[in-house]
Amino acid sequence: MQWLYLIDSLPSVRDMTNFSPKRIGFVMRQAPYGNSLAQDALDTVLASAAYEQCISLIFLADGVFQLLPAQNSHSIGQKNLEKQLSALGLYGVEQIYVCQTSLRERGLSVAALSLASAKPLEPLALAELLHTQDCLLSF
Amino acid sequence: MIFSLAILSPPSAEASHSAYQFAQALLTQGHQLYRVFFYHDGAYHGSALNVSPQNETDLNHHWQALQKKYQLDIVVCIAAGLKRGIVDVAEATRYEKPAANLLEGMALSGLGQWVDAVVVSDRFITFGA
Repeated sequence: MQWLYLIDSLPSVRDMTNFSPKRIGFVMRQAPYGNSLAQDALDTVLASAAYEQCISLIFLADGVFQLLPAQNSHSIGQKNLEKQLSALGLYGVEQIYVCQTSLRERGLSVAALSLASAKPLEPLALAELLHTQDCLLSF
Repeated sequence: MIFSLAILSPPSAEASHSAYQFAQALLTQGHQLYRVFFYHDGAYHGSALNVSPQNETDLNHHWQALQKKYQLDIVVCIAAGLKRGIVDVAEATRYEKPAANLLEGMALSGLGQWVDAVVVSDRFITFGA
């Protein structure tokens, strides 16, 4: 995978064993295609997972569209994001949340999503989750 | 306080100007800027070949001047840079490109530098996403 090459080729990443892992919340707000922000956000998630940070993924606003099943990205010449998201568990990324309000606003239900591990959260619970993170990265 | 910034928008975006002004403000107030990471379309900040009209801000060279003044660590994501034609001499040679254009004072490197900045900094702020 491309991101693995990037990490392996680094000349001088600081030895991060001296630092305790951080709780990093990735806030995914982008629709999956149209530009490469969703893909680039996912690459930073995988890089952070490779460095054994404590990661939560939060799908919010148009970001919930990333979780729709049966994405046929080939016909628009794009890499399939759905397949990469479904492999997140292999990288130890298991805390995955989706904003219930964002789903409702878009006429979607959690049952229709491709990631069974995505846990729906109402606004109050979502706010609590965001507050528990050391760092929020918004895409 | 230790800050790091990730900038994902190109120099033409308002968010990129905000990021530059934010960096100036925090440095002026005596905070530490551990790293600036240009990612996604932010990689365009790394080009030495841009020419701005006289009455417009040339963010690329503004960042270069700020780097020189404060000895900043400025990284352009290597994957984002390569995709957009921002290359240093080593990459230009590796991929047999006719020229290198990365601004002096900036470095091409990988996402590990992003993660490192998140871990080390008290505040990590993304602009332009």
